[in-house]
Amino acid sequence: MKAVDGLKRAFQDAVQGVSEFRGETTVVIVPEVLREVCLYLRDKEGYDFLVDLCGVDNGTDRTPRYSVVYLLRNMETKDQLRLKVFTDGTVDTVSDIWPTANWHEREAYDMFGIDFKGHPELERLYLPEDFEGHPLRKDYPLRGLNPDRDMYEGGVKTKVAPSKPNTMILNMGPQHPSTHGVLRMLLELEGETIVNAWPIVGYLHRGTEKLAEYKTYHQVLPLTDRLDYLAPPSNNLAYILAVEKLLGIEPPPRGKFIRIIMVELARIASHLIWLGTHAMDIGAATVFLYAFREREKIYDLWEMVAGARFHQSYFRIGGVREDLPEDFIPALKKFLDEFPKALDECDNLLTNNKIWRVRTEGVAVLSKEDAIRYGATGPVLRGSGVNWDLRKAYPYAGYDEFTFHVPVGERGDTFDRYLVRMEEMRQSREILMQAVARLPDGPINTEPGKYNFPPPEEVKGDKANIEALIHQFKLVIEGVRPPKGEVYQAVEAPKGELGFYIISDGEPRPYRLRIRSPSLINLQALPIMIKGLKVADVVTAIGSIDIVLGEVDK
Amino acid sequence: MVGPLLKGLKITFSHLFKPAFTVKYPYEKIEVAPRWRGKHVLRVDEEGREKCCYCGLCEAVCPANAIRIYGEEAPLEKSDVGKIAVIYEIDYRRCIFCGYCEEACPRGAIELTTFYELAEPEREKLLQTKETLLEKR
Amino acid sequence: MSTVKVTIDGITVEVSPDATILQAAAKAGVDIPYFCYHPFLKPAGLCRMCLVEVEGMPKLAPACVTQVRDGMVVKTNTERVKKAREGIIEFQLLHHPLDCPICDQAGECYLQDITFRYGKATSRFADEKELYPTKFYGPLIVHEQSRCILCKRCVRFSTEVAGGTEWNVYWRAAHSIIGAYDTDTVANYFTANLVEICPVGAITSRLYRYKTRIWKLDFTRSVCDHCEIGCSLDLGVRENQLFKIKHNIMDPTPWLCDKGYYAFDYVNHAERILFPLKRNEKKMVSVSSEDVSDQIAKALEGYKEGEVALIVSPHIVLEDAAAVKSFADALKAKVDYRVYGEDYLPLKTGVSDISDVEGSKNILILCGDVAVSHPVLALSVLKAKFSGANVAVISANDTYLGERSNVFALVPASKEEAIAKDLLEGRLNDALKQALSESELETLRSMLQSEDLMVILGVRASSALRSLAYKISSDKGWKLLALDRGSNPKGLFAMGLYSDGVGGILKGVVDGKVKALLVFGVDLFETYPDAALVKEALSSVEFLVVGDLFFHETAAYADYFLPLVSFAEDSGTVVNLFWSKRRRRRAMEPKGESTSLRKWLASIADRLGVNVTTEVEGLDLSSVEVKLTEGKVEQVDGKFVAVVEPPFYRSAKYAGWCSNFSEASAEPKVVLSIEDAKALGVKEGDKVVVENSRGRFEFRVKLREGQPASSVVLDCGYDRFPVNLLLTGSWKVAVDLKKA
Repeated sequence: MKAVDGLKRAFQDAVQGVSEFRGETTVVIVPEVLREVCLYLRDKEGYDFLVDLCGVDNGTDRTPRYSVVYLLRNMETKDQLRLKVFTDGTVDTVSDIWPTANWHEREAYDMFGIDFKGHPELERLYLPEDFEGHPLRKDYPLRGLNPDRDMYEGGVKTKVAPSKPNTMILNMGPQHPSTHGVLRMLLELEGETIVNAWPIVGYLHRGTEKLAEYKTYHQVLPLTDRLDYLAPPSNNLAYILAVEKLLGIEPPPRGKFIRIIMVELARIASHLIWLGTHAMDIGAATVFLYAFREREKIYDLWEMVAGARFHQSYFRIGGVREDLPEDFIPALKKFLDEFPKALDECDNLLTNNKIWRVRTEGVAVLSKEDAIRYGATGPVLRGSGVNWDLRKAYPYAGYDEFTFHVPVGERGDTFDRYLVRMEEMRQSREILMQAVARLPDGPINTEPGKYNFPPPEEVKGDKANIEALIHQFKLVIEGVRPPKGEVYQAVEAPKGELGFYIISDGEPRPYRLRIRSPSLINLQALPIMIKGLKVADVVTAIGSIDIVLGEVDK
Repeated sequence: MVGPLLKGLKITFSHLFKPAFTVKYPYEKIEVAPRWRGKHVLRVDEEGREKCCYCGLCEAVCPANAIRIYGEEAPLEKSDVGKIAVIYEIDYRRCIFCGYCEEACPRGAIELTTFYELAEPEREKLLQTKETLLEKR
Repeated sequence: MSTVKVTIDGITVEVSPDATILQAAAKAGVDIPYFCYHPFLKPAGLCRMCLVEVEGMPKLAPACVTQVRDGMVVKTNTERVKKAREGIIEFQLLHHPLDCPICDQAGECYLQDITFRYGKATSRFADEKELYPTKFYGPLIVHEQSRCILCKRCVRFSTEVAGGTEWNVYWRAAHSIIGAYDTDTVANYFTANLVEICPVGAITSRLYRYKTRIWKLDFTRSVCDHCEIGCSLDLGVRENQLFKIKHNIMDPTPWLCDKGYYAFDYVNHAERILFPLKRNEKKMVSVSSEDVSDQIAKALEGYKEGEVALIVSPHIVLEDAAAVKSFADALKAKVDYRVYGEDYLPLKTGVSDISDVEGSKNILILCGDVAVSHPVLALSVLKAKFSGANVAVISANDTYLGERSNVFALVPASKEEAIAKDLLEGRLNDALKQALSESELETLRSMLQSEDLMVILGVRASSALRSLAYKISSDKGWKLLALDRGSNPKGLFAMGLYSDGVGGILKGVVDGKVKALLVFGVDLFETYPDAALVKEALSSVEFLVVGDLFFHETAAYADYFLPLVSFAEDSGTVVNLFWSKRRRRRAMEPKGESTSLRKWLASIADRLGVNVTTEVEGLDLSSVEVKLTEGKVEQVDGKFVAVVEPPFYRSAKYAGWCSNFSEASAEPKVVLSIEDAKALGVKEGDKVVVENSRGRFEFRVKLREGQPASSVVLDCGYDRFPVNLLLTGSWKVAVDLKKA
């Protein structure tokens, strides 16, 4: 790889090792040269986008004990590079090189206790200020240090450093009708104008990454449902694809198509909620009901397939749980027929409406440069004029067999993001029409019995045999054992780039499961988007970023 | 400015004359899909013997650790394989209705039915036992 | 030592020239699957699962039996090996029943693990499976031939390690089945190993059957409580109930005995007393832990020096012993642990490891039934025997080792000690000459002349015999192993918890010198060889405190009852047979208010204003004194002389409270010679009355070939069957027999 060669030439011995696994390159460097390497990669090799930054605890018996992992991307060449440093607890910050690193480093400090030298404000991200311990460390017990305690009576952040004299600090949330969940914001106001803002997250933090280390790969799946809980199939897909990448397998064609159907329905469903709540926040309450009416139809479709309207957990490693029921495709066709008209209705109520235009045009602008520097992805990135969609950049799960356009905005304001999402819904419908038309026959699972359960008729039906029964047993009580290694796999979720970074040590449980959550990273850009705006625009801005707190807080 | 406003009002007004999308639950009930993941049932065979023989897979696979089972030997009148679960509990305070137990069961002994009215004012009553789960024939 | 180089999957290792490919692969870190191989049995090459490709060999080689050669190149990941593995698995599964849901082996089953890793997930078999009925071989093991993969590990253990003949293969080829010849009950002291060694669920534990899945258990490594060998055990606990014992490491041997494996469910018994009790006239009522300590302390305050005595179980840990010692010292009270009426104390000899036994060339066993008192030691003796050692058993009652030895003399109970004394002094007693053939006597003579001789004294040997043996073996350079009862007798001796014997204390009570008695962890009616004395003492003692798990006969006389913890609920240190410290670990929370002995003593001492210590760090085992006594060797005479002993399945602590374990010995028997039976007019299975001036009991007859005339063995240890009433301080007694 060109960048790696350049690194080796420039830094020689500081590069401790280069390895490749499943097409991903990992470079280990000594922590002393971290900043120079990062500046070199950003400025000389064009790695302008920091996808993810996380900590890993390599075990209490290892020295150095922790590693900090940086996933870098060159938006132009589409190359990706993983950078790793080993440390016993202190590492330089890169938050001035890539501003998106700010919250990532706070999270690594929160969860591992790694100190980032030079970070402007290194405090915990999710947990209360006075929380004791760093939960993702391997010696931190799963049930916490005080498992018998009913409620945490810890500290609440109330003090921030105002940037100007004579301003008022206003607390917004966590209980608030328009923060789209338990989001808390501290707003520094000069009159009605916002001077600065501090989003405070963690009110829905459930320790998903820690829990995943105690569950088999099969059992982790329902945890992922509850990240972006408004589009569960999308989270399921991201996780399953990461595990399949680790294993080096993929489902057969019918399995792939079924998954894409579920995921594109999820995209439409997620954008419909966005549309409904965003419009309602701004004042158009009727759109809320129209959007939810269509969303109910999608729930009915999911109910037909998986038996659940929300948390399907329908995908499996190597395929899906069972085939589509007979009445699904006709029902899907009916929905796809009705959907354009319903969307047009909402469109007609909003797009050319003067009130809507005034409230959204020019509001909460995120420039192209800022979008990349802050790691924004999804409609937020595309609304700011960057033509970037993972389904086109790194086609996964079979998306390369579909024809669709990726809408891109110009000005990076709320209105552009609105237009981008409306068009995305239409494009998703396009993909669904193609999927229905070309749905292949055949098996839905690869190598049944080895990764996913054997067919039920071979375990409990008339073709029951001992081999299938044994495999069913072993898959449950032991689980799949991927080879040792690490992978990063991301999908274009409705909210942005949802990535899973899994480190496997050959055991049936993940050694480290890292969730790169788009809502969290997009949210980081909120303060710069609302500076100078009025309080009412905060609600507009939050709505236009489209966050889900389940994904923000994990 | 007025044009789009009137267009909008026309749209919302037209909905007055369309059939309502909502269903007046609980006076009208929606029939759910056959695959609906509702309340669990422990199946019995044609002779009324419990199918569940405590293989332990549902307990092991449950991502929420909601299932608790102890087993014992059983005579042929109670079980066709001589083994039953003497304690079988599903804690509905933990269950996430993911259906993993149903999928893992190698005998088709536990299934999720279409019954979804599970709300319960007293938390303790949410602990389902064999009495509340066993299929009644 | 010369080594050879072997390359496996590209990794080169150096191993000894007589290593097998499997051993070399283990060194290289390469996994080769197997069913029939076991690290402590001779390799058999039966299952063919370990087939690997060896460069230069046309056919695949079984790694467990193929010896390495210098420069050998082995591959385990080729297509040929993969296909062979899939084929073997397919064959093994052809007739394998779909039992996984009900089979207890799930979770630790070789067949499941290997099929999942190396086999196919579907089947080509289209016929009917050939299945066999389940056989319950008694209360201990269940045998399901349908699941058997004919690896013969169980048969190889039975024959190669336990020296048995009853468990073997019937028929042959495709009709081979495994089972016990001629019996419906397999209870041969070591069935535990059959269960553990079987790689599938063909042999399972009846005690554990169906109760819980193995993956739900939390295992804690501890040490067994039944005898002083102290085998390492893993205790499996779920929701604070003890469900299963496993023996996972070779410590001290790879094997376990049935006591350690089955005799543990008393810990969960519903009748365990979990709260302190106090006597209220004829009834016992509950009292709080605080109050009971207050009241006991108050009562003890009134006693003077020498008026209080403590009797403790020989199973207590050192920490408890330290508390007992300091408590007794503070109260100037006598204390003793020899609840079985022993007049001897442990002897520290040079035998410091079980390998000393296994490597001996000559082993002489006297005055004991080693397979009953120290079962795993018996397996080590057999190991020596199978390596060519001479083993001689001279005993009034030891058929297990005796039948497997090359010299076996069943001697009359009345003469057992005298014969042993003569033998140690180099003479062959007449009674001995009667019991042995000329060639056996010749072997015995040469053993006594040999330089490598180990003498093992069983638990019946008196202190006089032990002193004699100690002196003679020091002189002659023999190794001496003196066995004791209990699981920590050597530790308690080292801590000084002895005075003039439990009998001495009981007599002190009867004489009125001892007014307050504290009895911990033992039912004297069960353990002491003079039930009448026990009854007299307990009825007349002024103040009695009993601490234990159950409300047994001794407790029925108590003024106060304190609930103690079992071995599973307490951590502590014990000293084993070889004078090394072993650590017991707590595997579950104490049930109810049961508390360790040291904590009870501390809370009582607190109120008395004295200190107890639990300090054991300073105990130096290297400088333990040897206490020898003079005295006469035991001699009992009578029409019939009986040796009274519990059978194996009644010989574990709390055996009566263990369900399946004690069922293996359901009825008390009397063993007599065929001539005596004929003279009495009884045959096998009839009932006889055994009596003397102190009592009268009925036993079922069991005939034994070679049993000397006028010498019988009586079973004790059964509920509501107080045979100890016949005894007067020794386990040998004169009795009379007649047909019932």
